[in-house]
Amino acid sequence: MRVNVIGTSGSGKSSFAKQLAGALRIPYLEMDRLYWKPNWQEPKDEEFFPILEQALSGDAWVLDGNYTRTTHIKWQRADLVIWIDYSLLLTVYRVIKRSILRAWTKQELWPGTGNCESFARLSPKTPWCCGRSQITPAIGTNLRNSWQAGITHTLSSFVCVLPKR
Amino acid sequence: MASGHYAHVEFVRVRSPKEVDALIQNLTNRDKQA
Repeated sequence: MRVNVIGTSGSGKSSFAKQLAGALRIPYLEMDRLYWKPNWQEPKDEEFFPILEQALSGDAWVLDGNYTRTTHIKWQRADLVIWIDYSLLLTVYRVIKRSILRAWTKQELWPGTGNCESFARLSPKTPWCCGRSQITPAIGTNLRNSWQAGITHTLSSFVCVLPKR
Repeated sequence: MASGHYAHVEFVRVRSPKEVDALIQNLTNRDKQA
């Protein structure tokens, strides 16, 4: 089974993905760990895509992460996508709690990178591209997803009730 | 819902933590049967 778990920051996709991988006894792959280089340096796509392709070359895995620009790689190989889509309130609560805990403990997020969360990066005013704050994106992504899901549901309902000609 | 390049992909949306255990059990059973 090849599974991609997606969802906004703080949705609990990592916890879920680890739990699922453990239950299925297959490798757990974390996209953030594959992606981030030391000092929050980001690889170029030409560098990152082959790393991801190599990681996904196995017969079974649970991949934790969004990175929508890699969809063509992930979903070409996946046979199941699980979207963790909890409420905005729960997601925001979780991401704030996690971020504070990480900033407080200075926990290294991915071994060998030295990348840690910090209180300076938790500010909602901190740009995502510079500071890695996950709080603002968590809210934005959740609202956007909910809106899109609502629109999709409304449209599909509408299409379903259209009379056949 | 899937179409085009991803027609082979099954999509599942989890709306509550209460659904997690049942989903994992379901997938574990499916994996054993495969």
